[in-house]
Amino acid sequence: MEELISTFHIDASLLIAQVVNFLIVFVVLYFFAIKPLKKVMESRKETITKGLSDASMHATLLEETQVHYDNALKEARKEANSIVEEAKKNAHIESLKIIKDAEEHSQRIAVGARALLDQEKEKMMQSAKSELADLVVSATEKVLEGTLSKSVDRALVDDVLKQSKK
Amino acid sequence: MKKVTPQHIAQVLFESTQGRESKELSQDIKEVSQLIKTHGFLSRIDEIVNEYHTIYNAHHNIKEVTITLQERLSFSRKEEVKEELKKILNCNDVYLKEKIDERIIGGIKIEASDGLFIDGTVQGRLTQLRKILAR
Repeated sequence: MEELISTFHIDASLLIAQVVNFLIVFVVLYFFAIKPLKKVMESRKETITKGLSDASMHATLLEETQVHYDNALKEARKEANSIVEEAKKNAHIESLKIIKDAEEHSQRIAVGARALLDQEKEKMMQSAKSELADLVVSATEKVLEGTLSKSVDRALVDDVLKQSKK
Repeated sequence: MKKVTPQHIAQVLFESTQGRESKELSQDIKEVSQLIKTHGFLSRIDEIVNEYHTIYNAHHNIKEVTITLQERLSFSRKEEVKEELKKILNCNDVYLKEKIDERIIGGIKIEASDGLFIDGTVQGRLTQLRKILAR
């Protein structure tokens, strides 16, 4: 051992001093450089990890949102189609109803017009009959006036009296 | 007090003259005339006379008949018609009133006091004909 120390000129006190010196430098470096750096590194690592996690979460959320959006869009399209179909159906029913109402209305008008026509026809016929009756009776009166003989008049009176006894 | 009407007076006149001799009638008529005067019915004498006729005719089964003709009837013809009317109306006598209306052209119209109405005139028959033709 002594031989080794003399060969390499190892000075024990110097060695101890260097060790102490190293320890002091190590402590200083540890507390003022390594520890804060380690802390910053850990913090940075946490931030990155959190960032990655958030990115992953956002990606998932985005994906879910996209799915929801697609579903909502699909539903909206379906609902819109349904509304359009319903509207078409209602419009068709309404148009049929309008056509039916119009047909009924025109039928009523036609019936009314026919009744009015019949009424007018009946009135005209009645008027014509009345005029004809007046004409016939007036003509008969003119013919009979002053031409009825006494014997005919007597026969008429006798006939009335005879008929009244029955 | 019951109100006196022309009908009452006519009834009294009829009852008081029924079955009386003509000698007694003048006194009865005087009394009834006094009754008419007392109740102030002089202005309604026509009503009393009409009522008297109604009561008298009803009592003796006499019917008043108005006949409408184109020309006035002869006496004999009128008697014939009267006899026929007595049979038709089933009464003892007929008090005949004659109306002349040239518009009837011919035939006879009979209107009796009991409501009988017969229109046997040419005009009436023509009116019927007019109705039938116009129907």
